[in-house]
Amino acid sequence: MLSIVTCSHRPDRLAAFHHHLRPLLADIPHELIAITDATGLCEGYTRALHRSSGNLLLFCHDDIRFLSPNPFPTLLRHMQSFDLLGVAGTSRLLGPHWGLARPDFLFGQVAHPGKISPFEVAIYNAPARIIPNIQALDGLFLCFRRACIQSIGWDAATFPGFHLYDLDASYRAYLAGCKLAVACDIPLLHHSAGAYDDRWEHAGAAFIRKHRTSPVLKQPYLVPCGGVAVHTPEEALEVMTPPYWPAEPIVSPERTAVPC
Amino acid sequence: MLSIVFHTDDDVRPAAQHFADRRRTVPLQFIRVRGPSRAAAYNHALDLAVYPALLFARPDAQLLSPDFLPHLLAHLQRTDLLGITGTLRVSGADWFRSAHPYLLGQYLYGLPDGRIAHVVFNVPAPFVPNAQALDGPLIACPLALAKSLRFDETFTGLNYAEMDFSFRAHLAGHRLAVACDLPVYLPTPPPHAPDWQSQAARFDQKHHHRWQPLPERRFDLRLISLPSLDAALPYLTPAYWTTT
Repeated sequence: MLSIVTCSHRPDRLAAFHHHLRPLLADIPHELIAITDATGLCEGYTRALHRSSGNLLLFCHDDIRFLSPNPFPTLLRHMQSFDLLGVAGTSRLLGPHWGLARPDFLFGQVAHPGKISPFEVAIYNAPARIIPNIQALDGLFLCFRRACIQSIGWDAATFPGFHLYDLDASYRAYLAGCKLAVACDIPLLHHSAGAYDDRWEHAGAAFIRKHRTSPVLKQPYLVPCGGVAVHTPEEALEVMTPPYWPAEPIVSPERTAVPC
Repeated sequence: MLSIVFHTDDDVRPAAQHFADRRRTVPLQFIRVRGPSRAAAYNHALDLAVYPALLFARPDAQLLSPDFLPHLLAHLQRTDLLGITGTLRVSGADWFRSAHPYLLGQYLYGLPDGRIAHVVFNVPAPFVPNAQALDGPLIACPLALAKSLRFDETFTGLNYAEMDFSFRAHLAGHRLAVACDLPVYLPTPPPHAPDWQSQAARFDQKHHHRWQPLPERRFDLRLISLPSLDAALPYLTPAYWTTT
């Protein structure tokens, strides 16, 4: 069973998201869990964790859209091998944002609405379908094995708001020995970008205080990722499917079973 | 055994020495060819070459590893044409028009302020096969292949000789690859010759029916400014080549 958890204050956005998900989940045992009154993502996700029954828990934003026709068989296949999966992250965390790592330690790709064209695809690195040995992940899409998130938990005391909850949970999962990966082959359109305001700064400082004994506070790199402006979601999908990847394995029905 | 072709009017002895220092035990022949047309100059070089493999090289290219040339020859065992930049999909007269994720390769070049620019098109692996066209400061191939294709002298200037040559090789069924692990530094950015537009038009006229066009796509290159060559070198070997 796959539990898909979303915290959303916007009924219209939540309904649209669930409407988007349903056909993609037609053959996948699943439950949709919505927290509509979360005071922060850790608080909301913790409630959802207690309410859920899936072996896998996907915590994701309510404004993402899957661009490929079959993302969930791909997700389930990857979860056979990993404890925590995201779509963007780093294999060497250097500070309170995964994007501060050296460029060749950044992975993933995400499409956004663009400023000068309808969509822009941010490509960090996507050398393969799946990138293992990840240390921290972005929270727009985080799929945990239940055992992993139950042992890690969400730290609502340190991160009561909507920032850094993802970096903290994923990095603690890494420190605890869980296997993290970035799936480059689950292309997403994310309708919003991160808001780096005072609240983010505050959460960043809390992250640094919490993890000051970990080797994460080195000189960050500030290098823009590659980006491509495209006109349609179909074009974004094409850009996010490099020809140098091997063909996606054919997934038989029994292989789509949710791993325990 | 490798014949190295420099198209320049300048003295190539410094370049030859630089390349010779990176040959290990590979026997080298250096050929300097001149003239306004790169295609004509390269065709002349084909008549002078004696070794079974050819490298067309910008004479100011600096090869940043001591075993650069043996490594290049090893790659050439796996492909017919090899470059350090190229595209997996030709969709117009500019090889970089296809944008991500089709562009491949990387190199360093000198900036006017003395810093080093690291240009990364895309380097998913040390060796990436299935390219459709190559460009850039270095292109290698067997002499026999070059003699069979020859360069098209209707490209009269400094641009498009290599692009046309490599695209025709692809169309003829030869294997093209981009070596992302051959580190190169260019003291100056790749030049943009004044006849570029007319040569692009010639390429388009010659080949436009042979590619599937893509929508125009603005893209941001990853360009990193670094203080020195020493600081830049680690960027040329992404950690994920060994960890993924």
